[in-house]
Amino acid sequence: MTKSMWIALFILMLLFAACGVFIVFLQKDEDQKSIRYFLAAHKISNALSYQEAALSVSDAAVLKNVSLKLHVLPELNNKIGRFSIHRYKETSHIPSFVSFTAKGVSFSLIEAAQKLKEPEENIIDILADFDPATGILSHPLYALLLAGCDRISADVSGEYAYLPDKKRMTLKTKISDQCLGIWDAEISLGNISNAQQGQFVLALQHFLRKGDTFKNLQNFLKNATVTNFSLTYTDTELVKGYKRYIDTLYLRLPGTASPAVPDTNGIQKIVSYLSLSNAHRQRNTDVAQTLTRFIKEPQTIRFQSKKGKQVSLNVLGGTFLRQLTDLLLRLDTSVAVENTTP
Amino acid sequence: MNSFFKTFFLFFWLTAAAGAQSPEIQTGHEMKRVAFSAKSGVEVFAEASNGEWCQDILGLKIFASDESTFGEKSLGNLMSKVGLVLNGECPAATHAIIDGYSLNTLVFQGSASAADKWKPEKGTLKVKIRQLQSAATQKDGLSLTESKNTAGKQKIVARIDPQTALEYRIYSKDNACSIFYTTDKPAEKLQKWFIGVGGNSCAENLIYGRAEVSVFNEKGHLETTLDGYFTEGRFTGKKNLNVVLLNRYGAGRNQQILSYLIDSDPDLKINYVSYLKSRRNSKTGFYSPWAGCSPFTIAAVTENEELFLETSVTNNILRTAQSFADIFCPNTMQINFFATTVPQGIPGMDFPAYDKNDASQSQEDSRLIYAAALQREPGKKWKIVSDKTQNLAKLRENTRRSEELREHQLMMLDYNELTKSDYLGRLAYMIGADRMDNLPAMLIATTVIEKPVRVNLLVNIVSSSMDYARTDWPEALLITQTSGLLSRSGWHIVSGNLRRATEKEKKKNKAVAGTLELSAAVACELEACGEASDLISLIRRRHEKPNWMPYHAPFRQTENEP
Repeated sequence: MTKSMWIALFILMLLFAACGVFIVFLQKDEDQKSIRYFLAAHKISNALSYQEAALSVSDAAVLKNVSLKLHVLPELNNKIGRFSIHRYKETSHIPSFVSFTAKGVSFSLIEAAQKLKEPEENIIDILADFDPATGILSHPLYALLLAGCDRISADVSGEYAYLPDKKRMTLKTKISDQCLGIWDAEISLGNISNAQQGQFVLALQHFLRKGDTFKNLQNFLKNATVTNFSLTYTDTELVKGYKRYIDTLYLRLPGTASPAVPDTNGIQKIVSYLSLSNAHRQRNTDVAQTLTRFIKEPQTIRFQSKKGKQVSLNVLGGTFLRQLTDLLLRLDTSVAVENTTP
Repeated sequence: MNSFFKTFFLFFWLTAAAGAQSPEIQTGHEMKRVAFSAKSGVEVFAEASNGEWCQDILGLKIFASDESTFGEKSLGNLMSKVGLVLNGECPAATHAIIDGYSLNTLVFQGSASAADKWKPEKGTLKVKIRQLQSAATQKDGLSLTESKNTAGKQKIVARIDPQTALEYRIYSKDNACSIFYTTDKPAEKLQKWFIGVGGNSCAENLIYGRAEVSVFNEKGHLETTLDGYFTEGRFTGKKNLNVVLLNRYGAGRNQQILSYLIDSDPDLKINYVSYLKSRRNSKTGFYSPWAGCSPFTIAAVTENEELFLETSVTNNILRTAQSFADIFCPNTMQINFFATTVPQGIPGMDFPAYDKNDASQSQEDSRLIYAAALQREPGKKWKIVSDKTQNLAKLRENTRRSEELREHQLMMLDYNELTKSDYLGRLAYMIGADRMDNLPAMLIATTVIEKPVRVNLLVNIVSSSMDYARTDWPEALLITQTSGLLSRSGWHIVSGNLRRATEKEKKKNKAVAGTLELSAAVACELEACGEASDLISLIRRRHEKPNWMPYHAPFRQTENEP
């Protein structure tokens, strides 16, 4: 090739490169528009801000440095380093599959408690009269603080799958936090109509904007059946910290047994509670002993429902803890402790 | 060394050895042993009140193995030695009432005075009078002066309160006779007054008995004539009253008072006192002769309030009062009877009664035990006027019992509550707080509200200095402003304002979780303040009832009924 031909080729390549850059810019602008459109369509654009958005080749969408304005705590400072939607699919305009990861989810639990703006006397009274058993459900935020977790720095991933024809929904989530530990949960629901699925989406939206999330969730779960449940929890600081709190609460002295670990009497109480609606006393005793073993030496615990079992949520009654206990027992859930360290 | 000095040496050697003891003997009073002789088989104690035994008038109890110790000579010897001890250890003592016991039986009652070199004499009347006079001085805060008969041996006469008694001593020109004259005229004028006396020998300087006394003023003019009887120089009109006068005082310009001792009952510990009054005539400006029969007012002065809880004893005392009325005022139709803890100063008794319309004055007088009015018609028996009877002793006893029952109920309530409460609840009760706090929970509270939080914490202190202390349980905590309140390490319940430690404080004090600004601290004896487990001790300490026991009431219900 002659010199002039080389020059012409070079200019041609430059032109292609310029076109490429131009196309990327156009594409990026289009991505931004698409994401903004998506957020606006779901009426959450005011509740979410981000520094950068992209529709990458491997992921459906990526948002960087995201900040949420939560409906219940609008002033809470929070940050998600990178929020990626890996896959998004709709069937007949209904979201049928979503998988996402949120890396670097961080916010202060102390700040969250402050932003709740409870009267000072209430805060002191709640903490002074805190019951370590029931307080976990009635005041979970304070329970986390008492366990020593004053800040969340977590990676969260989740997966949503819905088959409208079969009315089935599967939800998976995994949370990894230095203090909260690693939570890996999966639940499969049956008998979920399109309308109920809509309530689930509304519940998510109302988490960010005005609305009754709790009522949406109630409507979502109405008539639903649970067909599979699994939870694996690996403790880092949460259970250990909560045990330390209970030790001080019940004046544990050096060299004495931790009052947080159920003794024979405590195990018997757990068995009695479990057996209230379930006659499998031996199985319940095993469950209580497994729970006790985990509390004594918190590492990894796994709950897995028996395959083929399904339970309608409508048959459950009583307090939340009672309902949850009955659900797990009816699903014939096995409980196992895994030692992660030798 | 002769036998006397041997005994003397032994006696005082043992006295010194016994000097520090203050036993509680069967009399129920605190006693100070002032002398002791093993050889003679004698112990001498002085009654003490609030730990103080050395007083103007001592109550001496002499315990002897042999009754012959109380013979005139033996007791004289003993008292001369006791006197030496008293002069050294209690120079303030001037009189002593002596109770002598042999084999725990009262075999001798007498008195002695420093002025007579502690020579004992049987009977205690003189000292009783002194006691009553002193009681009036101490309890009413009066400044009394003791009058002395200038002639002959010192004689106990009425004490005169110079602040309230409008009384002046007026002498005859030759100073051989004198009277006590009641008038509200200025003292400087009275200094120039004099008397003329007819029908009396003036043997005792102060006129006693029948006399006709002319009183002349500063100009030498006849002011008045006092024709009748005199008691200790005081004009009693037509009544010849030979009594032991106690105190001369006044209740304002219009009413002047003179108290006298009727009798003493050593068994019941009662001194019966009555009152003469002299009232000012507003028209003439003169004071009436001393009189005390219309009505006859009698006070049973005693510290023994329990006497009036028993109806039979009260009736006996009232009968005694009636017999005194018959002796001193045979024609009187009314007795105003009072039982008091003081010999004077009670409204309605010697002082004018309160104005019933003035609510501010109608408070119950704690010195008054019992009050009753008795009336009779000529030739008939005395009858108690029921609507004027006040048994304050019973009322107070009923109130006390009600309060005690109420307190018992409260303590039972505490006991029942504590049996249900947890250990922290008991610790809170121990320090009188509403609750005990959990350190981690309160550290979170103070962080969330961004202010110090008032807390009560159980802690184990590992080190302390004048101004700060450190704990290692339940967490490392820095306690400031201890100001010597935490003088030792160990388990404590501390109260104060808690805040989270600053980064600077954490660096300086080895990662303390928080800082407590101390306001109160209670040191515990047992690990983790284990004494809180003993509920009965907790309740006893809280209510200051060291003998309290749960489950049974201290009184039967019927006893509490008014």
